Amino acid sequence: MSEQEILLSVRNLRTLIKTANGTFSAVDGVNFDLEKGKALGIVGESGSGKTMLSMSILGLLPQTARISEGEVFLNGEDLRTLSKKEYKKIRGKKIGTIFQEPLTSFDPLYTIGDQIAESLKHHCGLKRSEARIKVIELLETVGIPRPESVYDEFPFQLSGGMRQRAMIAMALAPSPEIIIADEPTTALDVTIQAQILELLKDLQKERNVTVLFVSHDLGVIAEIVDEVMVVYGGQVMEHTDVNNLFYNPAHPYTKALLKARPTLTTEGKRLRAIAGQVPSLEARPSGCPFHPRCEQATEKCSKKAPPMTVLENSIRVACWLYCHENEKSGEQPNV
Amino acid sequence: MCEEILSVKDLKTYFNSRTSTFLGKSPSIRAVDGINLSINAGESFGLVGESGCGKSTTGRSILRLIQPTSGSINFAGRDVMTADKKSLRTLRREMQMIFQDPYSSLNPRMRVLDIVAEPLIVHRLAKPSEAATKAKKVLDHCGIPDGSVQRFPREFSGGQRQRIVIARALVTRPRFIVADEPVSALDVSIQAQILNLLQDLRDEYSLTYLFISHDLAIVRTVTNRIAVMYLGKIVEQADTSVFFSGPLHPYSRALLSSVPRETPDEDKKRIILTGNIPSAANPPKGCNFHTRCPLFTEKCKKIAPELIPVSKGHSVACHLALKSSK
Repeated sequence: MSEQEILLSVRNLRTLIKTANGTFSAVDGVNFDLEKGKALGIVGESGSGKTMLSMSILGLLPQTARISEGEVFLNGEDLRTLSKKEYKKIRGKKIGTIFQEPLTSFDPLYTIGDQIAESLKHHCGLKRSEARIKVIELLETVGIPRPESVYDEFPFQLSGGMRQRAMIAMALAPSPEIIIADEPTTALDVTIQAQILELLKDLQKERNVTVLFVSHDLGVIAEIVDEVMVVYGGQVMEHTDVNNLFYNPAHPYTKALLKARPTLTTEGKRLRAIAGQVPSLEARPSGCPFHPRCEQATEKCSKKAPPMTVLENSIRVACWLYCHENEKSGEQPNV
Repeated sequence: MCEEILSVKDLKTYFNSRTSTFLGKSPSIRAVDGINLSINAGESFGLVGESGCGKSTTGRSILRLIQPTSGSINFAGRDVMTADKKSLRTLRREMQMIFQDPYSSLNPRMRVLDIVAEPLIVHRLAKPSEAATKAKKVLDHCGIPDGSVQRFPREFSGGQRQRIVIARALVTRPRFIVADEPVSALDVSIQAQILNLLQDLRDEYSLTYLFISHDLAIVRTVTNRIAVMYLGKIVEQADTSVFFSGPLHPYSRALLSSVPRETPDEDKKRIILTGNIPSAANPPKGCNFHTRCPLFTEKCKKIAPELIPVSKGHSVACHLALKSSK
């Protein structure tokens, strides 16, 4: 039970995607460590590379994409050296996944219970009857009423919220070390979203699972994680703990994003919009990806991407405002 | 205070579900089930609710894009409900709509300028030669520069497309706009741009909005009055500032408390609703909400509460809220 055990470690990860117009890096030199039992949120707008990052870790990249450099360690084991078969084993047993769309993530032709039981039979070697008991237990844990009969129901028979609960049960089934949740509440209504977030928080406390939580919604992030990584244009802009993100943001993008969102207290006020567009994958600017929209951009920003600088409160930020080259910068430049 | 521009009385829109059961006719889906609205000129009126509550159907029924089952709709002294095809066309010049998805609501084979000029020609508001100039002007107001009006929609990003959709709605100089989730397909940083644009245009073109959204934070920012819908009915209606300082209906309270907190240590008492939204084909007896309500009594199971004013401009449909507010 050591305190600062690193479970997931990503080093200089770069993922390339091939499109009709050439090859582009969707994930562009990402570094981070995730401690055991912690929840890390990855926040970004569409096209920022947050999903490609989680898919790279899962080894579930589409055929047009590949990791070109970098390493992914889970418990010290380099996942990139694994064969497809070995990766599949790890994914089932050690990494649980929760996706955005619970209807398309289940096979419509198998019952909910059989699909959850399958991973238990396959990865934990349980017998059919044992698996059934365990699955019903799990369905109960995630708050599904009448678990015995839901076991034999098909995905279409459940509502969106119930399906997402079933998916969480499936992710938890083999007692994984880490759960990767990619926008798990985005397809749900707010009242149902609140139920699911509450459930995820409880499970995290009770079972002490490590969570990697991908979302575009800062409010959802505030609910559930300990630390946050803000990504933009495939790069990490800022990596900070959740309180600092909201009260002491460092990067101009993080600051702008916080000001741009409407909140329950901004009645009738004009919002502080960020000018310009989110760059598409194929038209990412040179230098810092945020510089065309940044109010504090200088000439340097358009030429060279800033290295990751570690500030005194262990905030990591990639911005020239904080990096003075003659001083020591904390990490390798990520270009 | 202000002049009433839209008045909706007892609006009902039922759909017949296609699947028939063995035992004869299947029940119709009561998407909108007896709604009353009164919107003043220059107002921005928010309609909030979760998916399936009938908020979009209400918006479309008001423009008669969907034929309502019964009720009356009155726009600036004219009857929308009984308008024939010809007068409906003149009405639509003044009542426009902005849709949610800017990707599917623009014709991919038309140039942006033609998309925006088309309503002018359809409504015979301008000759084709003048239409282009007028369209360019509106596009410019909406933030699409002159240089890119000959391009196709696919060449624009989501936020820019939504600007084009807004320009198309504005070009006929309408007085009333139904904006159905106009920013929910957009990124946060772009959302703010579009919301600001909508507010600026409201002043510039003296518009009245019916703003449909599931996002309470957005509704708080851009509307001055608000109605909350649940299962085809309005459960609470109030001035936006009054609503957010103290909603009375148990559903409104739960909805507001479900919004993720703004900052990690915000103290928030959360009311977690149990269960799911019942089907509109088979709504519960009595109060629609009683199956999920943490406070329901025997009376709620039997008698559906009416929307009753509790203070000036604030009405609630709940047996209990009335008692507690007195």
